[in-house]
Amino acid sequence: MKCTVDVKNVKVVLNGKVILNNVSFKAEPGEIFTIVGPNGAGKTTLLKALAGIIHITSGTIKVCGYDLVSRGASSIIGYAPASITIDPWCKVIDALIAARYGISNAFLPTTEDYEEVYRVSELLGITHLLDRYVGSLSSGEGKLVLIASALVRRPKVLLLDEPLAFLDVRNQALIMKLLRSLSRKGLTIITTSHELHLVAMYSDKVLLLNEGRVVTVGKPSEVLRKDLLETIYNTKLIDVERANQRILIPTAKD
Amino acid sequence: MNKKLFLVLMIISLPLLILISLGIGTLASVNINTLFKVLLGLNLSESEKAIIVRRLVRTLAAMIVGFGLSYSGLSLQYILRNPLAEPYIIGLASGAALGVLMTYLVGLAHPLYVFISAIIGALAVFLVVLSLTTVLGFNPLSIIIAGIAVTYSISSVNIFLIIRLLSKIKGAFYWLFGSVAYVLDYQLIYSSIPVVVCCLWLLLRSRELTTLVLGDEVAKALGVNVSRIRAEVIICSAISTAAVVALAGPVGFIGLAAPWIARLAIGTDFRKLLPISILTGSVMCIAADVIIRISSPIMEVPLTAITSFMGAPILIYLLMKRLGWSGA
Repeated sequence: MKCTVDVKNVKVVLNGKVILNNVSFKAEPGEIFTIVGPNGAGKTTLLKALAGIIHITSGTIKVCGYDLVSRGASSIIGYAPASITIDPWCKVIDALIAARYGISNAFLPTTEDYEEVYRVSELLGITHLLDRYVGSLSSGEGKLVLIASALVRRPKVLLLDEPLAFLDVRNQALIMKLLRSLSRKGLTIITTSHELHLVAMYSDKVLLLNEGRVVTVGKPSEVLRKDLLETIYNTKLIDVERANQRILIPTAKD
Repeated sequence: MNKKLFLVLMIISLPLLILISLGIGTLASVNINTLFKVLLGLNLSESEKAIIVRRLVRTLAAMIVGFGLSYSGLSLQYILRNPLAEPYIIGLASGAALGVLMTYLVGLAHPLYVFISAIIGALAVFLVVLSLTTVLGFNPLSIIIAGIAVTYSISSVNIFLIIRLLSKIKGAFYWLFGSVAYVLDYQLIYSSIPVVVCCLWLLLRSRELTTLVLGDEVAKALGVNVSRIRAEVIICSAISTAAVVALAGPVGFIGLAAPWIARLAIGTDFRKLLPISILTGSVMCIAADVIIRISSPIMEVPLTAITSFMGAPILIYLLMKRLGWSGA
């Protein structure tokens, strides 16, 4: 089963403040869809709304054609937050097994649960961490465990909040390749990121969010434009071309 | 320690300790041989029967204390994400003690009233903690802060009451320090019911509870109603601890040590930890009571003194061996 995520006119109000307003987009199966925007633009809130963590005030979110609010979609969604939220006193293997909740109805973890945990751990190169306590991991290792916790559910829709944050370049490349391979298998992948140069490399579609509103959606080359980003981020950027790739980076010069 | 070895050790220890507990006491003529007479179906004298029943009540009381405190401690450590959380941190022991002291203050020191009053005191203080937590904003940290603040306040009141009632509270002396020496059979029945029912409830909820290690947001994304599960755990732990405190007074360290010993020995999955913690807590409490009766047959020593003395080195040893953030 392949899943389209269809978001229409979504509004989120938290503590009387409008965080998202009139947000609409569609993420197709096999697509890596990345949400970018300045700090406080509403990227994480949007991802949380898609994961069913935050209730939307109005609008609709359809996942695989089902309404997220009335039906829920926890069994087909894999979600990993930006920062490491796993109990530091928990072992990695037990955290990954816990993330399989709702996949099987067995009271105790099954052989299938363990097999899936080992399969994903091998994919991410974290099998050597399985018997470690989460609190003993580095930020990068913890991030890989978080991503693994989303993948062990074999989701149809993968929601990753800043999947490349805390990672070294080797692991950034590993995650980008993994996302590409998963999208080729038909997964719908929605991420957020501040690493604009990497977004241009691994994303199929980019949504630029500012102050809770969609500025534009399109291919990376259409959205990640110097003039547009300089206006939205209110900062000067340098356009660099390396190995046939145009990247935008901030400058330290006045 | 090897997981299977630990499990086998605990499973063998429990019936063995129960037998030892039934076979020892001030009356040396009622011993293990008397128990064999029971097993062989031979008749016992009335006095032998009475002593065996008395010891059985005491042994089961120790078991219920370990049972209730260990799973309450484990559940609280899980939902509050605090490795030092234990049942008494949310004001239950001080509340129960206040309830007991109030019965002496108003002159209603019948064992049944003392028992009911301890439960009411524990739950009333817990409600104060919950109200304060609501004001502070409900989260794992606020409940611990509110619990500690209320515990210290109530403990101060208790100290004044103990000084004022010093001559009247001789009967409650051992209770105030935590002891199963004078538990009555009906108290055991009254306490066991809520302890077992709450445990079964948490067992039913343990799959959801396990997801809380991933953090509230991820658990919500998995479809778990985090607020409801947290409220259920707190209420179950409160009722269970109140029942245990009413039975035997504030027995320290079991709620912290038993879940930790089980956790360090067998891992961190709640579903496996719940039964193993209960087993560990029960074994620890019965063992502590047996040690009291062997080491001090005439004068009763509070259970807390032995549980802390016994549990602390085991816990420190396991922590040094298995933690230090170095992994297994």
